[in-house]
Amino acid sequence: MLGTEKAIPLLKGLGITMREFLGAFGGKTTVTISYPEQKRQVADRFRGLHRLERYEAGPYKGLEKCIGCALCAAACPAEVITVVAGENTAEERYSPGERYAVVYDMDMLRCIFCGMCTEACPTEAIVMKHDYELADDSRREPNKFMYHKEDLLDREYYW
Amino acid sequence: MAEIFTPQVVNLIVRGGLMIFVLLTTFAYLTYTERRILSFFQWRLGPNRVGPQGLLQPLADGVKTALKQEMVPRKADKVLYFLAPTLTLSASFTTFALIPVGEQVALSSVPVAILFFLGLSSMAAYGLILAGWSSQSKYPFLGSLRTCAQVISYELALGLCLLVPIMITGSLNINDFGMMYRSENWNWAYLVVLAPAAILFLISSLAETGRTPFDLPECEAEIVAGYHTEYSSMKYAMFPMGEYIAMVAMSAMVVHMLLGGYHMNLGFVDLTYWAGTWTAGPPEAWGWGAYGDAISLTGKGFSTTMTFIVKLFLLIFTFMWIRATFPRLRYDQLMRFGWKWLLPATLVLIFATAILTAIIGPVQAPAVDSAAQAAMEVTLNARH
Repeated sequence: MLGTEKAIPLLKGLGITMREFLGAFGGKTTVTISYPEQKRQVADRFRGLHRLERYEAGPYKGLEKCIGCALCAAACPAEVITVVAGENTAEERYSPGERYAVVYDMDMLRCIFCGMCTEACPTEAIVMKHDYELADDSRREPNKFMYHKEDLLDREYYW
Repeated sequence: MAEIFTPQVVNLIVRGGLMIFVLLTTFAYLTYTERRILSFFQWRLGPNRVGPQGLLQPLADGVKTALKQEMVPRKADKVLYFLAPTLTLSASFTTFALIPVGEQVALSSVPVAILFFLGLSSMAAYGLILAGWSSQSKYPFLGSLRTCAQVISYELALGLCLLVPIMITGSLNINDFGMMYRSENWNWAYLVVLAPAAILFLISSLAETGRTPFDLPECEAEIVAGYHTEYSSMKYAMFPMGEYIAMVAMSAMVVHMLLGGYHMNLGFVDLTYWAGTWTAGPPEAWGWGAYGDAISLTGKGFSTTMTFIVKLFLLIFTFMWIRATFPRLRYDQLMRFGWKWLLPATLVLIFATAILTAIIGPVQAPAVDSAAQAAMEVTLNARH
């Protein structure tokens, strides 16, 4: 009668929004993540900034996993990675095999985070961690966006 | 020269300036409040970066808007183009000269305030229409045509809703609407017509101020931004400013119509006077000056103004709540609702009010307090 059948759903709608308002106002967590202070938990398989790994246990403990084979550079579709290999010697041993990476450079301006390098790596030396705050303020200056071996090897990561 | 600036005139100018300052601040913080409240409705946080809890956001917005480049379409009708936002804004500001915000706290006491109020709200609509027309651009023109049709449709219902308290009190003075609840021959049976009248007034004021379920004038998806597409910088800001202040004015009218104006008498305890007693001691100790109380932050003027502001905010919150809930109407729905439902409903209400007043008898609102009277005298003296 007189449009009450239309008015009641409207009032119900008002009730629903008020319930959500009181919930959010009463401290129920909002969907917003206050970004710099709080960070979104990324998925386990999130592909962030790379890291060069070392053996953490076993006979090769402490040695670099990378053997300088440059399969990652070959797999890379964006030509990010430059590997220059060198020979291990008895006095200076970096990795278990014959060769190790003398130079391992990544130009992160080119990287598309496809993960092909990690797929290609036979020793799982290069892995992708969850760090994604890679912004910087210059393309021209060296070492900004250009990650060298010492930046990637054993680098600290958040999670 | 000396004759023009009599103390009364200076008093009026100072009070008017104070009112404009308060209104501008209100507008600035209403934008902030609305954004925060809407965000809570949507599980968001809203602007909370500029200053503590984002409280300086309006300041940043103001600076940003003021520094924007000013663009005027080459073909625009310059006079109307510049006149339109001024018209909207000044009409909204002037409405507040009529609305008492507290006992003895009013810029003027006009016996025919309601007529003036309705006239001013129509003037604000003219601003929107002229804005679209003078821009000489297609979308603003369409937007202004929509505004024109919408405002004409809903203004009828708006005015007719106001007839209900007018019939009950037999007065066109806004002050009497709130005061009728304190009258000796007040009858709670009047709420049967007053409550629906206030709700219908609220609905039509949504359309009149172009708020969300009826915000067709600025429907972004169809006509970009409606009438103010071609406006930029401060000239653009004057439209939302006018709209928000009109929204406050409409809420103030509802407070006077239904919520008992600036008093808070719950029957067993008069909260307003309780607050006054709490801040300034027993009523005998209160000052009764025209503006002294409001400024000294104690006593009657302050407590009534605070009561009014609390009620006003509840109403404004309702506006925001409605915005958070309802989607925009289609144009034919807007017209059908206005003409086929709202207008007949108000006519029925007026009929019911006529019967009620015939049975119960009209309410004689208590005489306006001395200071409102004084304010009126100031207004009248200023003319001489």
